[in-house]
Amino acid sequence: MNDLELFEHYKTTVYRYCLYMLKHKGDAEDICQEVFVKAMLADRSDLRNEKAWLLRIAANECHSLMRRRSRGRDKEQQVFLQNDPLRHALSVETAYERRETAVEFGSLLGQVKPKFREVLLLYYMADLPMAEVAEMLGLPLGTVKSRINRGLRSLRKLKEEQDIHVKKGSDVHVSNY
Amino acid sequence: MGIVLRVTEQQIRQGLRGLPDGSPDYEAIWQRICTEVKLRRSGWNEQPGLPAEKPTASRARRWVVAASAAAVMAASGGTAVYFDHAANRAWTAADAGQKLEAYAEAEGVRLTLNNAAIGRQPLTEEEQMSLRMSLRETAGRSFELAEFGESTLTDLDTGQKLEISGTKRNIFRRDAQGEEPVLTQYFSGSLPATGETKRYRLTMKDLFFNQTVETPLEGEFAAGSEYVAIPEEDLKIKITAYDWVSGGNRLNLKYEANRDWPDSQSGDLPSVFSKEPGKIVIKNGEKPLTSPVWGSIGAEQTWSRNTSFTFRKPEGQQIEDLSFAYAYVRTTDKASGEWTIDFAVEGSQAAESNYTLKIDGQQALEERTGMTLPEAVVSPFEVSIPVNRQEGNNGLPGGRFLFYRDILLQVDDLEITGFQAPIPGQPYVPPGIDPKSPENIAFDLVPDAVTDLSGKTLTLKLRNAVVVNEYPDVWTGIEPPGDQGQSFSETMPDQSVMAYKVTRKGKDVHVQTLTENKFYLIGGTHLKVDGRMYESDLNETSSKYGGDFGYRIDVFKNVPEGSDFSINAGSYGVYDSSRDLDLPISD
Repeated sequence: MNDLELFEHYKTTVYRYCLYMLKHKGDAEDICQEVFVKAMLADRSDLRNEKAWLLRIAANECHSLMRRRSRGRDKEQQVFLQNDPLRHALSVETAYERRETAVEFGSLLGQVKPKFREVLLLYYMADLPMAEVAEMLGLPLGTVKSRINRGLRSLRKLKEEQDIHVKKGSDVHVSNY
Repeated sequence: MGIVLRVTEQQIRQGLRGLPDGSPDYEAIWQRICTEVKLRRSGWNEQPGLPAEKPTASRARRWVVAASAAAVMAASGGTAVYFDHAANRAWTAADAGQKLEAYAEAEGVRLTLNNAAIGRQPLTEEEQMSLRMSLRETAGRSFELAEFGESTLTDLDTGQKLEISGTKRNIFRRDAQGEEPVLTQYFSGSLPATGETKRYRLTMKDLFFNQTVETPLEGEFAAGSEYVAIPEEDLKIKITAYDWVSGGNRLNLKYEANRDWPDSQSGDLPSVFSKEPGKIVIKNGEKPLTSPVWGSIGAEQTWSRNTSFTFRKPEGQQIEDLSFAYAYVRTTDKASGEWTIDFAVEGSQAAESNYTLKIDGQQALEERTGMTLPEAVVSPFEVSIPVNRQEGNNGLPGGRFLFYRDILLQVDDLEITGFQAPIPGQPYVPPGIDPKSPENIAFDLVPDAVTDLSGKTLTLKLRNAVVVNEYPDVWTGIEPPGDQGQSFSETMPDQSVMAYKVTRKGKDVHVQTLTENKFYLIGGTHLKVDGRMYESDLNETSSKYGGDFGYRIDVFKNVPEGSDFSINAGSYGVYDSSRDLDLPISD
């Protein structure tokens, strides 16, 4: 698979993983870009599972960014104002798109803890075997299973709460008329 | 009336599998990837960083790999072992907050909980509690790095486990005096309010003692050579590519290992510490010189059997004087057991290091910048300075002030680097900053373990003001662009030199402007063809600013063949050191 084929084949998987891990479109684009830059600079001749490998890079990049966020030590913060700010400007369309997406399933996922969200994305969205997820994250298989279950429970709870909220809202609306 | 709704697992699975991607512009991402790959292959890419000579700490830290030194620090989960220059400075702060001095012992190791401090997490509105711990007795064990396998903090009144903020690793490293290994860990969640007391239980399990080990890679270092990297594990590496590029300043290195990274969980006392993958380091004699360039494949967290690294040749070194070694972390001892400490935290005492200080010299600051910084809000973890200024042109002579590029907080003889964000009129904000939040200057004290500023001499140092210059009448005439890039330059009225490289790519024209990081482009270049103005496509713009190198590439779409081409630099920021200021901070 050449570079362009690699990008075309896996761009959506890598980007979606970054988007739902980082919850920020600009950051997701930057990390997705970095993942494929690294992939193109690497020797892939002996690579057996390109998707898992790309997601491993993506996971590491996302972890790094989230750590930098949490520590407030983002190296890029030093030079962020020297970078082209307009590249990151939100268009009206983008802002609208973000609002639209926010009411969908992804917004619920965004409320799930990162450690659970991560395994849910790798297992269900990226369709990686559980053992691959465990190896990629350096976790015992049992921990991955447990995180998937806890993540699913958390999502289910959030979904039910949202549905109840919508249902209640609709009841109030009807009663007012 | 109760509402019963059941969401099936199947629905959840379908939702996860059908997550939308929000339709990003993949074509633009691909273009940026290609540009970046091309630049990195050409050896142009430098990672962003501050000028190398400044002895500042915090965000300006630079890392070199550890070989045999006293303080080893692993920055976060899974990272390779790095040695932090700043960790060895002879400066330490008194502990803030509430003194605890509670301890637990197991396996001859005494874990002491020294103090607890509460304050706002850096860059957020949420509070966190720091617990400072130390290993006061280790039964004579020798180690560089000690790490517990697990730590939990439980609220004894509710049973709730508190979240660990930041790194989950429990790494003890020696303090500035090199005496007792210390760890400060941060928790959020169930914290006591002012006047309230909460009871907690700290539980730590299984302590690993680790040393950094190097295996020299002797003989001629070249592609095809094979070396034993970790003798105990029969881990060998074979060099598959060894190329000095960029005029001998960079080394592209590839190697493959004969086996996977050893799994240290399988043995009671593993020969390698599995959380820290090994790597090749460059040396001159006994002195470790450099680790792989930040951003190299595999240089951050990953270890794979086939690995590519890029090294930057240390300044002033000759290639023939360099040697190579394989560095990894070995577990030398393990204390299996559990350390449990019950303690109580009183909210007011733990939060006593939160206060405000006055910043002097406001008139001079306002005259130079149009902004004022009246006070510094201090917490145990951060110093935050709200910025007061009007948006728009501040009417100052010599260009509109935007911000200071280098902002330092001097605490006695330590300098901590801060940053200013969000800047009015600049849409991009760094990750973690709410773009709608008030403009602020922030200094993160956590990386420097500064926990108490009381009694210290504090100075706010503002350097290299960025001001905006724009010369709409200065157009540089150029030849009609062709497939081969053509170079042109223009010396602007402020003596900034714009070095343009112009290339036609099909219907589009690419204008690359090299800045050498003496200035940076804000709005981007403008192109005029036979009297008609063209604006670049911002989605295809790319830029990189870091080290001594900086550039921006503007892409003008669908530009016709013409005869009269000219370029204007647009608005750009220059650094003005005449506005540098030192502002004392006082009670």
